[in-house]
Amino acid sequence: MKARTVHAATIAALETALVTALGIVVSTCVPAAHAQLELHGFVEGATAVRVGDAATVPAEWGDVDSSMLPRRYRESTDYLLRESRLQLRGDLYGDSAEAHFVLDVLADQVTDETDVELRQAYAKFTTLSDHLDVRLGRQPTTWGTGDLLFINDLFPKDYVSFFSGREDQYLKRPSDVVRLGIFGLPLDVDLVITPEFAPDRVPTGERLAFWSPAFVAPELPRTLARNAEFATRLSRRVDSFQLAGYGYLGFWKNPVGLTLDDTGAPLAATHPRLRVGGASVRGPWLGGIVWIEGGYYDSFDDSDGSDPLVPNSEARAFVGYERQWWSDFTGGVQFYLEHMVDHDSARTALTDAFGEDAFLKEENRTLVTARLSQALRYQTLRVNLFVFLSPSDSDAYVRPSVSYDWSDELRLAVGANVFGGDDERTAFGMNDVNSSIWARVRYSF
Amino acid sequence: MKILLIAAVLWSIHGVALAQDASDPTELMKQAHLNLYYSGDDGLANVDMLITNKKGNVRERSFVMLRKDFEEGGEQKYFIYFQKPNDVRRTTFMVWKDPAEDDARWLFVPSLDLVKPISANDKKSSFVGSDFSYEDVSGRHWSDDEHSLLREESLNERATWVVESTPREKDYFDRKLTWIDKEYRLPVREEYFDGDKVLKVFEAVEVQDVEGFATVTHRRMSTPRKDNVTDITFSAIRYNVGLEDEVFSERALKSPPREYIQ
Repeated sequence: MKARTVHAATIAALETALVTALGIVVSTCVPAAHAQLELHGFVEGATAVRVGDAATVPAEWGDVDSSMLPRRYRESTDYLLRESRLQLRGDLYGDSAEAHFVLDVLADQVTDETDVELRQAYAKFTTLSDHLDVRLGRQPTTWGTGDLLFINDLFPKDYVSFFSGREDQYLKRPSDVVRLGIFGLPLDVDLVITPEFAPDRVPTGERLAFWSPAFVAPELPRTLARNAEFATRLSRRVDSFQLAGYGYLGFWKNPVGLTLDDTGAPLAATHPRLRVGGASVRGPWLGGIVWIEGGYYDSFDDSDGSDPLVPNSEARAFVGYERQWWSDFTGGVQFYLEHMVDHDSARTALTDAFGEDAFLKEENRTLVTARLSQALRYQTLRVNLFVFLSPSDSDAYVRPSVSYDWSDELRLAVGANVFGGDDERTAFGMNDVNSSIWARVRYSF
Repeated sequence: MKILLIAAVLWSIHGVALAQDASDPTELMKQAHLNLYYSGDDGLANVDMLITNKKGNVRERSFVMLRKDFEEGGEQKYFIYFQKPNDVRRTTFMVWKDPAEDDARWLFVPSLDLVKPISANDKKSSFVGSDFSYEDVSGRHWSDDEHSLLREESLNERATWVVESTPREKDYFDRKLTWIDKEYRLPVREEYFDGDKVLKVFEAVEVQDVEGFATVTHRRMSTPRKDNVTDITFSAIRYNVGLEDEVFSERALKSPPREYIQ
């Protein structure tokens, strides 16, 4: 507990430092002759209606007290989204630094709550004779080469928003980080430190039904100094190709581990420790863009793959290609492989612990994605289709959408999230009951 | 025999006279291209774009455009910082243009912190939903077409050469007419044809002297068969600013150089 207190104090100190840094930026900016504050944003209404069957409680959960079940298993809510949102974006520019914030006010009729979410609040400055970019605070971070596929990008994602019909920007979940960019060396270096672990947001049963081997609540790693996440990227351009190497030290981003109580009953879903090393290359090829990325997920709490409560290590890779096939039409495809390193010992361990029926994903999970985008009528009308198809899991996820810009301010969009699969335990198969159609209207200012 | 000889002499004199006056149409097109797209070693401007459709609805784009030349008539880099419409504000876009190859293009989306390379083999795709294509913005290289001098005529009370160009390889148009202002050596009007059909029309609506460079400060591209028109005006134009190479990098996409984009 002592270490925890110390780290909590560290985080408190860091947050104070952040606020102070923002304060300094604000106070140095405002009196300056060139300081500029720009305010923009949007208001949006969004609705998503379920078209799948009602969610049934997975058999593995056994007799769960129905009052304890997540909402999606208790009520037949037909709406995945029913919300009004106001987003305010502020950008403040001073002589030597700048600050950015994004604030969302969300009136959510699915949860009957009104939330205020600070999505971005960070200060940015450059120092060390222009060699170091520093960004402190809450911000989205993205790297890697995939199109909606991520291997070395272990920054938090929000799959609840992604699956339920919110705009793409909500797939990226902002996190509170210290981010450094070091330039002028033979390699550009990025370093992102996340003092407090920032997990992915995954379905919890509130909006989206899910399958899990046991009905238990997720538990986050403790707020300890040694539980901070570190992510780095080294990159360099060679001719037309961008090469990058990546490293990550932290935790599995979704709760894939399990703890048991003294009787052997599941206690909590956990985020086991994880190290990742990887590389990518991206550049022009045959009139389009090609990219290749790979990474090794070292689940080092279970180095020999024999712990049934901790996922195995994995090697992951994808290759992708995209090009413009005709005017304003882009088509791309990706092939993805997720290879479990010690599948046999995982199978044995799982069978010993939970029996033959215990679910273990395939040794080689394969995935094909396709993107088709056509812009029409001077790019005011956009028709998009994104497909995930897994031959190994026999499941699929299809995302069609159409958006129309009525004016520069007003955009209408409709689309669907359609899931299908043979097995209710695979990644998309479990979302079978979450298929929905959605509509959004946004006014930007 | 004598008559033939006289005819030959007359013909050669006529040929010399024409060459002195108008010179080579390819050379004219090259000069016009360099004057429109390569003024100075670099340049920057605030760009306002109005796109008017057949119903009279107007959409507006504003951006700051930075350009640096690495070779006259050859490699260039462009950096664009969007200010309007509001939903793409702070989005940046970068093009490394090499007339001998496909361009390299990148888009940065700030809400996702995402740098995305854009495949660029199709140069006739619309630039930000306007009547201008990517090729119209960064220029179609004169060596892509065969040129012949068609005539000289007065356009808007100014003396021009009219050059006819046909693509060397099959393209979206099969013929183009360019009116080159004799004083400015700039294209002041272009008409693109597919057979007898006019595909689009470029007009230099206003030419100003900026730091000694004749600069088209108001350009218009119209697409008659769609009744759509795009007007671009350039302001706060500067040449030979001394833009560093670092302005045209992935780092700058994420952290646009404030000294140039205020």
